[in-house]
Amino acid sequence: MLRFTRHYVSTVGHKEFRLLPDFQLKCGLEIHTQLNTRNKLFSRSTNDPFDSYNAPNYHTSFFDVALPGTLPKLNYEAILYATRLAVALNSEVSSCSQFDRKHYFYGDQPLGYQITQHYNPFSKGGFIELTKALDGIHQERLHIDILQLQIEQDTGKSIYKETDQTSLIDLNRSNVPLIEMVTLPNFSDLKQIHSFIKKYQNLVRHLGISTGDLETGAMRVDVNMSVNDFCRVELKNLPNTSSIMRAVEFEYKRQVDIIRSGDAAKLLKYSETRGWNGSQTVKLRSKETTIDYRYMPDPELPCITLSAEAVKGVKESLPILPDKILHRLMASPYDLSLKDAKILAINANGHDQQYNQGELLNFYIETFAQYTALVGSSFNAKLPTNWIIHELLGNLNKLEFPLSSALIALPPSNFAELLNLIHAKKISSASAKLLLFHILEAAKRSDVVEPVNLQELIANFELDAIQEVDPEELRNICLQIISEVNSPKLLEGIASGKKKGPLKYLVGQGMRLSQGRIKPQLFEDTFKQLLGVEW
Amino acid sequence: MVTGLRQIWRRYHKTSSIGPKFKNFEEIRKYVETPRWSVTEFLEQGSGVTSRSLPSTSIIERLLRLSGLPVQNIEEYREILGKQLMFLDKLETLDVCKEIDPKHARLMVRENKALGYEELMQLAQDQHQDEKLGETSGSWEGVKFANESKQGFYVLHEALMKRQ
Repeated sequence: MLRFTRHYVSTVGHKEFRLLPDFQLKCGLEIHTQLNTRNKLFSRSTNDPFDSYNAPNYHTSFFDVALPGTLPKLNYEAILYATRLAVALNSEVSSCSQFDRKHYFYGDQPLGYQITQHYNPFSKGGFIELTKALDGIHQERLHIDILQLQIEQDTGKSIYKETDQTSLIDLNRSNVPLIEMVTLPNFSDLKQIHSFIKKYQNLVRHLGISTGDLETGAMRVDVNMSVNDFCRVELKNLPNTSSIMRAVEFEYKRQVDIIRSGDAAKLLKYSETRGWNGSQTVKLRSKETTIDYRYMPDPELPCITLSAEAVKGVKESLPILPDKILHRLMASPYDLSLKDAKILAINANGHDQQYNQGELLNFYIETFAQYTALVGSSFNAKLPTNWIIHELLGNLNKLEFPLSSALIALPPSNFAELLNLIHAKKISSASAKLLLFHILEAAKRSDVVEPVNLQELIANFELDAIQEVDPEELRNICLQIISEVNSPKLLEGIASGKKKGPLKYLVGQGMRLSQGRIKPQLFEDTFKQLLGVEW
Repeated sequence: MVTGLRQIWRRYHKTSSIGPKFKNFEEIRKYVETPRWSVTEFLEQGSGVTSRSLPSTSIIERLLRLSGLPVQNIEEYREILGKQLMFLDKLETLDVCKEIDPKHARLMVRENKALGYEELMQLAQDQHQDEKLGETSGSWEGVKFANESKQGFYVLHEALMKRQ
């Protein structure tokens, strides 16, 4: 085994990974997702598993810490969230699912068993479709089939202290609702795995049922993989997408080498669970068999019985799903590129950004509608895209000012008006940029309680584009700029065409002097004339 | 289940008869309080615990490890578990009603009315925290009941943590 270990450590991360044609990878995923319900699964204590650092064991009820005599009390908000996910995944919700006890002994599992769903899971079947166009997989399209969704409780957290060989147990996470989603082993390459994880993560965020963060453990991905149908290995403790990918690469190479060496019948005979230590997979334990868990129906919890009408109602209440949004944004009238569409349709983790995907998308759609209503059929679809996705978001990030607050000063109607002014060339692009930044900065500084008056601001700052530019005045401005350039060589270079770039510099100076009110093209034409540009 | 119990009774007593009518509550009380049969005898009847039917030492050790219990008193546990297994064997010989849904093996109401959409939304909305159940954050200090705690954490010694 040491022989293999040395070999992999030296290769992972240094060589480009490739699957080998004679060694077929087969993968399935098990994803545990914490639901962000207000309260826990079988009690009403607050669901805030990340508070442990400051206040361990603060959000724990008698049941969460398994005091004898306490009884579980099902939180139906978790059932609602699970139904949302099941419906979005085309999974069939059971009309009667049940909770079961899975027994195993661990310090952060105070009951001595985990309440999960073994015999009758919450839903069965379903799929996620990956496509080349939206998800970048190599195949045109691929269905990843879902085996089932089950609802279960999370465990507590243990922090191992090596110095005194003890573990500190925090039960804030104990009894937090989880959904375990299990796929069939439909994955045959890494790109598919990566795309699926991203898509699933975005889906749970989009449905508002989880933060979907891998880093915090709100979403945990286990990979079941085998090569050439030898026994499967389960990979656990994979804290982020990069670790998942690297662990699969490592494990693939490890198994390929075992098969090549002729030891597969011995070394890949039994299932095992392996962890990822940052550079290699290491054996954690042999996989328990089902009988070891001594499953039994939980006699203290009712069956979950949902009517078809309830499932239908949840389905109808779902937001439009991300793939549909992407297709819609990439079609007329929006005609967005995939990259821009994803900014509006894909949820980031939200930790350091000034908006959430839902409010940004709504803002875009509403502004686009109002802008096209103002300008009619001559609308330019790129204008809202550039000004919202690039200018507005760029400024919000720079100012660290949330979109929700910016919307008070600049609701869609005002933003559409700004776009209309740019569209009609009543304000130059440069002036509009200044104005937008000023509005946002002012809104951040003072508590703006009403939308800004754009016309008034433009008039106050004299930002309106000069419609009739006096040619003589323009010529004088350009001459003044040229006179301030202390490099005849540079001017000669512009004239001959050897150095075209500095012309942009001169135009920029003109825009600065005119505060953006004169179109750059007019400056460029005048400079060319004055310098006798031959190109 | 009733059929099953009746058969236990029949099998144990061989014959059964309806006795005289009870005349008063005292007679009923006396009747109920007087043991007519013994569970222990019932269990031992037919198939007593023999060394062959006892679970093996290795099974006991494995179960103790899975349960996080110290691996000791093996023979005692073999006896106890052997009796429990025999009881289960006995139960399996009973003629229980096959129509009973295994999902009904719970203390709760067996036949739930299927929830409609509005009911589901209402139940999801109902999030009242009960301080009597310790559900209000910080309303009680669980670690105070622990033998050992440190900075608000329960303390567990490594030997107990390891899944062997």
